[in-house]
Amino acid sequence: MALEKKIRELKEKREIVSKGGGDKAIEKQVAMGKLTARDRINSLLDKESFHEYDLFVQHDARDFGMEKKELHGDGVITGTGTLNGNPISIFAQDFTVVGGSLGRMHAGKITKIMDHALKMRMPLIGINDSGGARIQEGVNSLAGYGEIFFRNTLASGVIPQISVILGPCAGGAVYSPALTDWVFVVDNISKMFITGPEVIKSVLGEEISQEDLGGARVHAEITGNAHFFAKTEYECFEQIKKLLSFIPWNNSEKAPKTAPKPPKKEYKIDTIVPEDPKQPYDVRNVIRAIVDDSDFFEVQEMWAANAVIGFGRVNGETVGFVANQPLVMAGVLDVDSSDKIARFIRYCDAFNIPLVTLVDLPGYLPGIDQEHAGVIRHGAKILYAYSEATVPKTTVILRKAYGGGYIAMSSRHLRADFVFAWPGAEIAVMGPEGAANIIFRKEITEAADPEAMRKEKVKEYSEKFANPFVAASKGYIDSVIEPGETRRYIIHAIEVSERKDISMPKKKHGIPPF
Amino acid sequence: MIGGNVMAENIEKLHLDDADYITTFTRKFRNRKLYEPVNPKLITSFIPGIVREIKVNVGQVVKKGEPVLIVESMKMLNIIRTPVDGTVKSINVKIDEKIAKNHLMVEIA
Repeated sequence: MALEKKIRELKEKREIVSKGGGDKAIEKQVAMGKLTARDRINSLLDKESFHEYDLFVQHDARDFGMEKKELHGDGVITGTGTLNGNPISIFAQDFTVVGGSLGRMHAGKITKIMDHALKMRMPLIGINDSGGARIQEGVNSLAGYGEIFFRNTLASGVIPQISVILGPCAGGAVYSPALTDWVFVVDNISKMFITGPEVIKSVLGEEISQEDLGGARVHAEITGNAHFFAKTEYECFEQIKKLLSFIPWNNSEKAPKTAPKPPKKEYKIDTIVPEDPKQPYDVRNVIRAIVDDSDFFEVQEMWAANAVIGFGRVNGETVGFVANQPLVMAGVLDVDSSDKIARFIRYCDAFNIPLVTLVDLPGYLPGIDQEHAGVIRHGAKILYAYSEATVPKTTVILRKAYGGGYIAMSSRHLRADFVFAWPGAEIAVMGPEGAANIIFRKEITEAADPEAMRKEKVKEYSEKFANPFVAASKGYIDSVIEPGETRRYIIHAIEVSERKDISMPKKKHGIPPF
Repeated sequence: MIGGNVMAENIEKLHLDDADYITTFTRKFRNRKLYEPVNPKLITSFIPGIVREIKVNVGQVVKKGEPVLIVESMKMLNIIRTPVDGTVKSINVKIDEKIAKNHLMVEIA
């Protein structure tokens, strides 16, 4: 009988604590258009799979009247469950409990679940919705952040780390998401910044709204801090599930294979790319014409759209795609697209995902702003990332590959395992117009009709160099292939690479141009 | 042959190595700040602040590195020095005046 009473008491206790900040605070959260922390976890994970840890943790602050306050769960829910049927760890900050502010025990719950995730080699999902440090806890709160950042770094490249920004995430708190692999934001809900609008106004006199400073769109399009943008929390959860269907659970596994499917018939690979290298097209349609079921899952769709990155499956196996996008900025490389590409390469390399690179670019973007923003060191990141990556690397040159852009985009010289080129590919030190103007400057300026001479020389250069056969004659390209053969060649490349084994010089770590 | 949701009015030409590439521009590229060469003779504020002291007069000859103003900003008193030799042509601030970012404070001729 005594046990029954205790069970009843436990149930009552659980019910009270599970409500976080209580009915009124929950009403407020819902009025802001947000789900509660508990609803978020339950909507994201497989049904009824969530098991909570540390529900009864209490804060231990003893100043500023905090000793009289009981904060349910200390403002964060942690635990494990399953997603797509596989075990996963998760924490969700509970804004209804003192604004989800982070104190010592709150941070302790998070670091405990992080340690667990790393030990069990399963992904970690962190749902961020917090006003920031709990000021009353002083330096203990800062210590908590530091412990989280340290674990983010330890786990980096071992287990996938996902940050979901579903509320404010400001000050030091934003560095945890920045250290994780994938950041998801939701329109009108996510807010991320180091210093908020009030501080900026008081110090600099500049006025800006939270949304314009660090809203979801800003991070998805301007800063590149976010990888996935959704209109609603539910859409965001679907994106997370989809991402996790493509990637392995840790760095010692390969991504799960699915049943192979052909691409959809409406994507006709030989009609997408115009012959004239100056005409645009959407390179994503080329990817869709290659991948299973034409299902391409794009990463950072809005930011640095002159480069396209994302996941697709080829014959059931996950592949990381990197492509230049002629539709935007002529597909040039610049500061942002270099960052975007380099980081994605490193992700795929860390998690055993083969890379396929589709090349069609005129080179790097000229400009004072680019040079002053450090395009040299940012551009170098691509060279570093491709050279360092040991996963199978397949390159397909679709059309133009000029100058430094040719070298950077997974060329043979950076140890691509397979380099294929379409028959219309132009592999040259620069485009025919620019090259002819330099090589034949004298002939052009001294000609009776310089314009006619220029045209003739551009044509001469194009015929001689703007093709894949010069590079093929040196073995820089393995095969010149028909567009319609691309998928077959990529499948073959991945099959051949199944047991790829190369070793790199022994070192503690390299020094990439961060 | 343009796919996606790109409108005809978004089409731009990107001039690269004597060729015009037909494409679209990103918002970030369209909004980029055009470079302006720095004129060292125009002493401007790079953050807002309050002028606390004016150390020179119009017509005064100044040497490179000489203090011209004390401006309080970020809770610090900052010494503003002239980066060039010359004569003070104009002083465009008053004591205790709040100045914005990029305000032309002193001009050297």
